[in-house]
Amino acid sequence: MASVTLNNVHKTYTSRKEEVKAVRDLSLEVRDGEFMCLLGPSGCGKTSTMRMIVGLEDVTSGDIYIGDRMVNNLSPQDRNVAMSFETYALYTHLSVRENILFPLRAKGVPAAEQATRLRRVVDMLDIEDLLNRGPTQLSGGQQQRVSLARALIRDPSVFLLDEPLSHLDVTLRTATRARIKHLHAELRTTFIYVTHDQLEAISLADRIAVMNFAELQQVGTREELLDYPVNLFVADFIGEPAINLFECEAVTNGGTMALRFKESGYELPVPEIWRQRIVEGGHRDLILGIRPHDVQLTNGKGLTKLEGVVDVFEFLGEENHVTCTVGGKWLTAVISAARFCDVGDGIDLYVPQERFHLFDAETEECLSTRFKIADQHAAKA
Amino acid sequence: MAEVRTPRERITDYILNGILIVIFTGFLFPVLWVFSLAFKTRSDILTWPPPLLFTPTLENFTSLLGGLVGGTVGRATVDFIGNFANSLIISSGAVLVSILVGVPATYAIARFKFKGKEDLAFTILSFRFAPELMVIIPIYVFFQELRLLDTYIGLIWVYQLITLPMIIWILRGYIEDVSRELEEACRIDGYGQVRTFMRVVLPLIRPGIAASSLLAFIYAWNNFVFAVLLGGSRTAPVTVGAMQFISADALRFGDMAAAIVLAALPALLLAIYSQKHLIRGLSLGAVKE
Amino acid sequence: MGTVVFDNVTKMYGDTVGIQGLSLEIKEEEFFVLVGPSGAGKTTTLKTVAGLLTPSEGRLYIDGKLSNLLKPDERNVSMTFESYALYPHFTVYENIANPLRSPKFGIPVDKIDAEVRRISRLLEIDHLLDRRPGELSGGQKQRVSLGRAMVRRPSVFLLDEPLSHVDAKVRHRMRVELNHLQRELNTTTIYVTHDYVEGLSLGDRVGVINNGQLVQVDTPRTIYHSPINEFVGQHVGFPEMDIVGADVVNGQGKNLQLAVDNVPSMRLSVSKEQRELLRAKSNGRIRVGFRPQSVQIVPEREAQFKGTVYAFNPFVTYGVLILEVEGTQFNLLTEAYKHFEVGETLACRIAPEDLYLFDEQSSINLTYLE
Repeated sequence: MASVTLNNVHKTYTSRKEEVKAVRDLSLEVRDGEFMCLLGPSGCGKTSTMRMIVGLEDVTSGDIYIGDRMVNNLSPQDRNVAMSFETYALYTHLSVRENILFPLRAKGVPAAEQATRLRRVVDMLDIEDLLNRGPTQLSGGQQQRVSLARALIRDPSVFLLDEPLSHLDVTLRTATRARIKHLHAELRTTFIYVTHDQLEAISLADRIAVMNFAELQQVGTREELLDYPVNLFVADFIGEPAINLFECEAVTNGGTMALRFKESGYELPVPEIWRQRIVEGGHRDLILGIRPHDVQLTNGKGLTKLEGVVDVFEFLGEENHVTCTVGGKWLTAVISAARFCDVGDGIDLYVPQERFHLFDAETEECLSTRFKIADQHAAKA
Repeated sequence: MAEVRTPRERITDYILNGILIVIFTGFLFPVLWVFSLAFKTRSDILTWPPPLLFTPTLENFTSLLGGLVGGTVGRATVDFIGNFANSLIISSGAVLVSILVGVPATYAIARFKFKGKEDLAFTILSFRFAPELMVIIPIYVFFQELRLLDTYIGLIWVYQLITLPMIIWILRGYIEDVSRELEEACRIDGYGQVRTFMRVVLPLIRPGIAASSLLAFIYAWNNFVFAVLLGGSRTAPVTVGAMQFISADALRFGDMAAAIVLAALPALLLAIYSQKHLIRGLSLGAVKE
Repeated sequence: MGTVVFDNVTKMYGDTVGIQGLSLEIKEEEFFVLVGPSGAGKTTTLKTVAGLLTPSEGRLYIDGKLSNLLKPDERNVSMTFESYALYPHFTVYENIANPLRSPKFGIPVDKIDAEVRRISRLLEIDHLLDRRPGELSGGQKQRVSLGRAMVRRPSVFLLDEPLSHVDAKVRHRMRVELNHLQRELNTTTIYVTHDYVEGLSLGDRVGVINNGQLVQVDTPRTIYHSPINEFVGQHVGFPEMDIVGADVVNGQGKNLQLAVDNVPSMRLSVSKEQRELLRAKSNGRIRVGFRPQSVQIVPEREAQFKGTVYAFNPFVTYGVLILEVEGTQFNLLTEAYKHFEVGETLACRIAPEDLYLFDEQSSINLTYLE
């Protein structure tokens, strides 16, 4: 077990004509025993980062530590990390048993120890029945488990997983997701999991590192990313259904301050808690974000009311979605499975003040998160 | 994304390139030699060792096109322009007929299921690797009976053995690459089978038609056996015409070289012109990845 | 206008069944969603309506007219393909205009232009009209393919897996838009998908199809709350419904209880109606199903059974918890903002009205069983 630390890591690929910066100034600490996800759209640098940690790729500049050891110049086999590949990468000419034992045989581990370690991973991953088969005789889910077993039998101090669920169907995905989470709880090894799927990341990770355009955007727990996004990209990338966004303008009308929707002129009072700082900061062009699950249908204390007209109602079984027109734009809310709405009806929607997300339209920084964090620091002091 | 190459890799590159250059010169040598002959005077041609530098002359071309070759010794009259026109008529005629017949035929082979389809497709291809001489005698007899000897129609007909298989086999891949759903979509859009073919399939296989016609044209252009045995003085193409330069009294290298350069010209121009049609990029992005 | 009637339609491919004995009536202006796993016969059904396939047996009526042998261009239907099937050599404009340019209709050029612009504004692709399909993103191709289908006024729209190749977020947005469009266009639609969520969200009625046979046709709510058999129960809903075998045993007094196989500590009580059903239609054995959201976490004294947490995966609006009870795993749907430790013990119960009882042999829901 070990922590993984990246200090100001850069990765630049040089081809004949141009330089491509795949990773830019990445500093990240993965704690010992932590489940960390590297999340981002394709081309964001997450795969390069993972390959640098494993040692399949050199760093252009910066340092990588595993535990206290600087590993920049160590070859992959000397880093004591294991990796399971997206395509499973099983040796088709070997049986499942030989596949799993391959890393131990390569190191010359004694036969008795091989047997005990094999037993352990076989029990953990439930693959007893598959040992004598060849990889080509296995289903996708089975191949996936064998590839996990081959990685885990080495007792790595860090375990990297590259998009392990991407080739599985929905049912198998649910089961495998649970199994990976369970494995982590059982092993308490440091896991680094690479994915482009935000739902996978939030359902598995202790913390998530969100990357975009080769740069780290934010590192945080699932709650932090959902409720305290640092910028518009993170807020929009995480969450499903996606956050509702409205371009608006902060206007003052005889003492009261309102958010005026750019498209329709619909006005909403600015959450009281932030009014003063918006005035002080001179923020004018804003983007208002409301998460679909933060919308309530009943009034209460500290709630801001929005008036809408139901445009689409979706019965989905476990929960229902209602999409209303508010100020000329669509707003989707997630409501309980017991609640039904009729299309065309007026509807009042209530959002807790502190759950409004406000972004600067130009810098795309999330102002409300900045305000909230400042408040918390003040409260502590 | 290529990594920076190490010195060792760079040395390997140099060696490889060197070998390639040697091989390439070997292949190109005859072409360059013929090309230089065409612009040499008779005396330059016969000088040994051949001079690397010489004063180029158009003498060979003018005498060739003038129809009077051979300089002072062994004068002969040739009709190179006539041969050239014959080549053009027969080759383009053959390709045209092959396209008119071949495109629908290929469509049927590529799209429809019928008994013996693969056998039929193979039989058509086998025309290409059966030696021409094997069939020439029966064909000669037929042609005699049908009075097709030394006629354009006869030659265009027999050239189908060369051009049709070429077109069918190249186009088949192109048509199979056109998603069936594109045609289905067009049928549902309200177009009949023929119109759907014209609207959707034809434009998408245009690069294939260009590529296969070009190849078929070149093969037809280069044919000698059919032309020499089934043609005659009226229909002789350049391949047959060039024979006249080899006569009992003299080998006319200069005239022959000039004739070869001129004869190669149409195929070369066609290849350059149709380059952009040969790129199959058009059909990309039609359906999901 | 806009009715489709299948009267015992069968389509065979050689010896393989495409669809078998399909009888179904799709009403005017109805949005009908056909849900099923891949290879179930969904696309075959659509292509039969489109005229791209001819039924082997049975009759197909479109707008009351026997249409078995009509060619695709002789029926007034439009269709979108899973692969989009956009013409790569046409611009977006020409793609959308294609159905109107058919010589059959002889529509004047200015009318065609007006229609293409109207539909592309509606689908928000009016800025893409000069592009070719190769230059579009997946979501944009999707819209163009919808545009091409919607630009004329067909009796029926046929939509084949329109959302399967767009990413999760776009899919959600498109679902809402399709819902909205449906109201705007008011045209009979047959929509095919493997994703039950689209069925529930969009359908006036949903048909579940498996192995070429229609299993159940009903409103989304009935399909979800009263599945006709185990297949429908498990195919509709996330996470999947858990279904286990159980013995019907005597409980206290006149009550019956369900003793779940391999889980001796798990005894589920039934309601009065279920007791009657069990008495009438089961002979001691039953398959019992329950949805993950109906397993409630309760104080220990109310527990029917106890299990340990195998894993907990929190999502945005809910969490999926895998509970292990004596070696058998069940799914639980919980609130997202909770924390569960692996190995933690939970006490649970399932309300009788949340149980589904399926016949052991036929796997049919007892309430439907004759």
